[in-house]
Amino acid sequence: MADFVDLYQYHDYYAVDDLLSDEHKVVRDSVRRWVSQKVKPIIEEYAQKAEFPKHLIPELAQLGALGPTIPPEYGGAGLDYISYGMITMELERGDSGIRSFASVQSSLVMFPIFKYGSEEQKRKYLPKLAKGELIGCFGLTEPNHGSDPGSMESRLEDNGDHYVLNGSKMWITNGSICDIAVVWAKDESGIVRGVILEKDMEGFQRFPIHNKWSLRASDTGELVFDNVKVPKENVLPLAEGLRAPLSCLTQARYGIAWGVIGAAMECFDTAVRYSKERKQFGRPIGSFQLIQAKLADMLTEITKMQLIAWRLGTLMNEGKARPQQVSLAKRNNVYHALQIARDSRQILGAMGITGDYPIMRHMMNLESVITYEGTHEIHTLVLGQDITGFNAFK
Amino acid sequence: MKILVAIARTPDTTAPIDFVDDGRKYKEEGVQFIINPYDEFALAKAMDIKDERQDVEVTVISVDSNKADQLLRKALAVGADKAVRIDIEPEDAWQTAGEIVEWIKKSGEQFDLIFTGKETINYNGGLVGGYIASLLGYTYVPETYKLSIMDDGKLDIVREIEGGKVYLKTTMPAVITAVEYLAEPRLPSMRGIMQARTKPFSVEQPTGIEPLTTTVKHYLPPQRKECKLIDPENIEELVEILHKEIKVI
Ligand SMILES: Cc1cc2nc3c(=O)[nH]c(=O)nc-3n(C[C@H](O)[C@H](O)[C@H](O)COP(=O)(O)OP(=O)(O)OC[C@H]3O[C@@H](n4cnc5c(N)ncnc54)[C@H](O)[C@@H]3O)c2cc1C
Repeated sequence: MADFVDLYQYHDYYAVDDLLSDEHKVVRDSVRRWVSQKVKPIIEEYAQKAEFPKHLIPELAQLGALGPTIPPEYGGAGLDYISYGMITMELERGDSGIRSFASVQSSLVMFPIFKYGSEEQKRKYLPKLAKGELIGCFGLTEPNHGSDPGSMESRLEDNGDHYVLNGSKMWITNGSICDIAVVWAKDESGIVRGVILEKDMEGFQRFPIHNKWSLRASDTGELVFDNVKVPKENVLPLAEGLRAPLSCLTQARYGIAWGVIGAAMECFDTAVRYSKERKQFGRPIGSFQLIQAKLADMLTEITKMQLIAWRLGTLMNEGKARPQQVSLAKRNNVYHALQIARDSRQILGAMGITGDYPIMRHMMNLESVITYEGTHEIHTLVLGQDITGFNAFK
Repeated sequence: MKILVAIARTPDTTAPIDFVDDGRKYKEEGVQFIINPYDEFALAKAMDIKDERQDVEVTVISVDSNKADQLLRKALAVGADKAVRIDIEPEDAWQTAGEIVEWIKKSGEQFDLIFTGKETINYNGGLVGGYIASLLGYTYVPETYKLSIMDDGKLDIVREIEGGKVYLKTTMPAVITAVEYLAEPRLPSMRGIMQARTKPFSVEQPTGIEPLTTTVKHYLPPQRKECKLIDPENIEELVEILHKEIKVI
């Protein structure tokens, strides 16, 4: 009935839907339709020209995809974690870049302000972030410190009635388009603190990073702080130590564990349809055992991903999820989503490398997703330490 | 003003079509269901009227098992005030319309407008609206594509007919069935979904209206044969095929 017809079909082999509430399904259906109508018809073009589709921000806000778990008094929707997962899953079905925008705004900007901010900070920033009137970013990674953010060099110095911030941050989603930045730096006693920077503070500069082959429809930037005067009321009062930014990452990683199911399912669904239509040697390629084996493996992994994400969401709702459990889900789901994207691309042969199908874009996006929010290896070490008690990081 | 919107559950437009129970029933396993798209236009129109005027209360109703709950929740999330589900999966349009009318009578509600879609996209019967109108003695306007409520309370309506349009004027109470773009369907926002939690949602027992028809068997259209291409130079082959294989000449 709409002009652009999205042939996508959701796959639910183990009836995981029976574990969801009606509300969860309404959330999923709403975001799915929005993605079919507004993201899928345009995303390829934006990815090709390496531009973030900024015009979608007010719509994401209207939909309620920015800060969905934040209470309504601060502009959020007060939904549970499974609903949040439904949102990231459907957004990432469209593109990891759109999901990244929403993840950063919700989990890495609104969440820290909500959890560690003062009442004034919450009232000042959260409603505008929920409405998309302010774009936020989260600065933890530095040029010289990625997997080991504890060694960060950015410094916050007490200068009487204000702080002075020096340093830089690299690979920051929404970095060059942000209005505010939640930035993590060490104070004079070496404790990590969070500050809220506003884009026009003197000495705060933002630069876009070019030439990416991944997350092309997302803004990635660099932040530079040259003696930025930070008013004391812009420090997050309750954030002390590396635990604070890591707790934000736990939220975002949880969203990613769901998100990549969307990307994987979009690739799988495309591959299934293609394999039934494409003929070689006089038969649909889907009738060959080697293709069927790929499809069987993909569906098996998608089903496992769904069950892991659902169970983790339930634990998150009960306040029982441990960060290590979130690591397991992020690590497993992203890894398999990437394999599924690669196998789907192979099933499409040469067509798989074109922008006529979403697969190559998803595949390249997932190369970032397996790196950010803790690399695959770092999550392996988190699990290794949890299993054995030995720290293998250093 | 009180508006009732009757919505049906239909398979998503991309859902596979298969049958079980020796062809008697549609295979629902693994299928994602949606609000019948024409009912979605009807619901959107009710929401537009609610936005334009004060004191509009919109009730949504579905005659279905709890599989429709998700769709009624969605209707509440886009702004309907109340939801009612009559707890039975109906066999035909008569049963659906009959149960809706029985509920209206029992509840004592006086609806000024009753909206539904012109038909469902899976069975294309197009009877529910007409049955409701006749059982209640309401005006019936099918396949409506534009509707405005005038200051004098009359309805200005545009219907699409084969090759043209008809302009109508009529009065309420009326049953209106919707075609595409009677109004722009709305997506529920996360806020709306949260607010829907506290809206009244009642599940009623059916009164036992019997269907007038029963479905005996469904058939899928036969698979189309593959196209055979014949060289334009080779008229003899064509004649041979038409004569011997297809036997038309
Ligand atoms: C598109 C994109 C968006 C991003 N957005 C943000 C953002 O919004 N905010 C933000 O703060 N950061 C962001 N990042 C940064 C991201 O979190 C880092 O890239 C990531 O943490 C890895 O750091 P690194 O790139 O410096 O790699 P490194 O830490 O240098 O790692 C390089 C390789 O070494 C491996 N490695 C490192 N240490 C170990 C070890 N102890 N044992 C075994 N292997 C190890 C890693 O797994 C990796 O394979 C983004 C990155 C990308 C690509």
